[in-house]
Amino acid sequence: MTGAELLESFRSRWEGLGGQAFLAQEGVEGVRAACREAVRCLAPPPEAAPGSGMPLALLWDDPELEVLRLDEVLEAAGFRAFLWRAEAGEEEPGQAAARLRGIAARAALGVTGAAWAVAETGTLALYSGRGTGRLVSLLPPAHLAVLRRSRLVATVGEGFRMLAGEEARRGDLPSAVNLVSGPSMSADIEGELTTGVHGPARVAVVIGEW
Amino acid sequence: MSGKLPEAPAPWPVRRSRALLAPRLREAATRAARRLQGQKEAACAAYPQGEAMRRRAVEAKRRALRRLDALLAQLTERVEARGGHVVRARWPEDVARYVLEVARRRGARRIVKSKSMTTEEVELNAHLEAAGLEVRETDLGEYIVQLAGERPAHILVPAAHKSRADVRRLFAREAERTGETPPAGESPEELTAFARRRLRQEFLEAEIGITGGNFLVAETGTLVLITNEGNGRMVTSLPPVHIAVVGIEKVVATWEELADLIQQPPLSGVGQRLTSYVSLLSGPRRPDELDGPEEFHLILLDNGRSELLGTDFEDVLRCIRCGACLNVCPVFRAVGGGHAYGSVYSGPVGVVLTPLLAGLESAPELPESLCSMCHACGEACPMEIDLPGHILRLRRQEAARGLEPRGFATALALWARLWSTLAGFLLSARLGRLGQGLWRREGRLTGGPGPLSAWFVGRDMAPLAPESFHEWWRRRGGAR
Ligand code: SF4
Repeated sequence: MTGAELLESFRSRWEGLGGQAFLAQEGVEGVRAACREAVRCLAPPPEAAPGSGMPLALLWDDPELEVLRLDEVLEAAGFRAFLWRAEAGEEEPGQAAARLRGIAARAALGVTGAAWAVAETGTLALYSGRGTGRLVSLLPPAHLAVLRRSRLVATVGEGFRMLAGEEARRGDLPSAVNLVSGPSMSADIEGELTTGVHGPARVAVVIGEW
Repeated sequence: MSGKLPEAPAPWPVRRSRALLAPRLREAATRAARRLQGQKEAACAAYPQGEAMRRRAVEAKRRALRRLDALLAQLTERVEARGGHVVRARWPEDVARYVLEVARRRGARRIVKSKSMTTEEVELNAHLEAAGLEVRETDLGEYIVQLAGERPAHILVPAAHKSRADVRRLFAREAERTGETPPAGESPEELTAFARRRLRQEFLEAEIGITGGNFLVAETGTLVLITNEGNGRMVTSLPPVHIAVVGIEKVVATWEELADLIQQPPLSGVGQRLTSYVSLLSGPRRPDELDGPEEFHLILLDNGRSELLGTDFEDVLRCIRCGACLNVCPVFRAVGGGHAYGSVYSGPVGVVLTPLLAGLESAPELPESLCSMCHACGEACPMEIDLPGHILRLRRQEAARGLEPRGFATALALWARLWSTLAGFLLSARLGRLGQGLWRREGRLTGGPGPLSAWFVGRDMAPLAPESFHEWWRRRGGAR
């Protein structure tokens, strides 16, 4: 498949599964603009958020995402943004872990990158790691993933080969690789599809090049 | 000595009558099966690449079973190298003992689980609850079934037999118990929202998470879990301890093989190319990570599996629990789903696997009565397991061991003799019509003379028509 075909195929699968997809203009600014748009579509505007105060957003502390300054995008959209990392003063690792878990449980939105995506199945691959917590894409009711266009592959098998590359680079596999294909789904009540029973009910991906 | 499975909740005649007298269950099972079967057909038609993948997946499983010991050794070494723990459980009790040991050491009381057939196989919940632990099933369907105090009706759709009103009642009762706001209405969205709120709380409080596993990859020591709801991810991300109970036959050698296998369960079972979530877990959280379990335990369950290696039945160990054979089985629909089987494994795969794991004596009725020999399951099985062949093989074993009702063999011999000639066939019909009045109950034929009565143990049939097709044909002057 050509790059354009991969993109088209991924997008139609992902949307077919109930996800939203946003194509960004090339460059950092393009991706930030697409993220702004995605956040608007994904998460309820602040005044509609349940309870008082600003809604929270939790963001991977991922070197790949750093230049995008998504925390600023989120703050501008009315969120209080937190990065998945220990803050100065949190020497005890347990302290940071407990704080982040609490934020994840209350956050309205989680924002992550994605290591690769599979066109044939409409699937995103998320690696866990120091700055890339598993809970960011799991506990909040909405999840936004930002994907580099060059990371689109045709099949799950090709994705696994990318993972082998990562293993060689890190010296080990990530402790958790989560493949995500659309929102959390259940058909357990009278066979009727519902979303968001455990994981996010709303998912979006921004695809860009930066 | 084979393994053990939970005892059937009721003897076969009771289960049979219950199943046949429950039209609502029959409708629910038929609806679920038709829906899933239709989705599978549509998905496979739109995904021709899937077929080559499926064939490679069968080969991968076949290869793995041939060198199972070596793969398990490699897997164990890789998991342990990352600080995970691996134990082999020969018997069901070994699983409970190990989990209780971990719980005691951690001072844990609350356990969350994602759906797993192995833990049902070893009745883990009952063991843990007996020891005073709280166990929560978190798959929405399993949660409903657990609140109702019942058993799952279908491996893919555990609560297929529950209506939305049933679910609302169960949730309202649970809301009262926990002080939670009850569901606002009975739409699936509102009910789902309640389950999300309630179960979220339980996930956050749980001290141990227990899962099964769909695959294991030997080369890296990786556990693979597939779910659509995301409860598998919750159970393996939030509690500080993760214990996986996985059958030894789930191991494959490489990721390349996994790539072919991973799409097969959802493709064949529900017609999805991939489940919403696939978790590929390699050991506990790393020292620099801020979430994920601190401890990872892998319990490799045997319970009679290794004895199937090298036998005619070895291919059953290729089963990926996709549910495709259940969805096409006319008997599964007719008896209203899984309950009639009295086993944790139902449908055609249950008919074969239950006696193989727990001994034929424990469930002779499964191969004997819960199969019409239509061969639909054999065609549907993506792993090319010879289900109809195995059912026949098991029936033969039953006959050889005298597990059938007395006189059954004589009845069949008599029948074979009569029906091997046209005259005999016509004679049997004439005799039958003459005599059947004696055994007619409520419009059905429920018995016969002498050895023939053996056939009617657990069966009945429609009475013979006043005129047979042959007679009708001849009366109309039709040619022979
Ligand atoms: S026996 Fe075959 S069709 Fe039935 S659940 Fe197992 S793999 Fe699927």
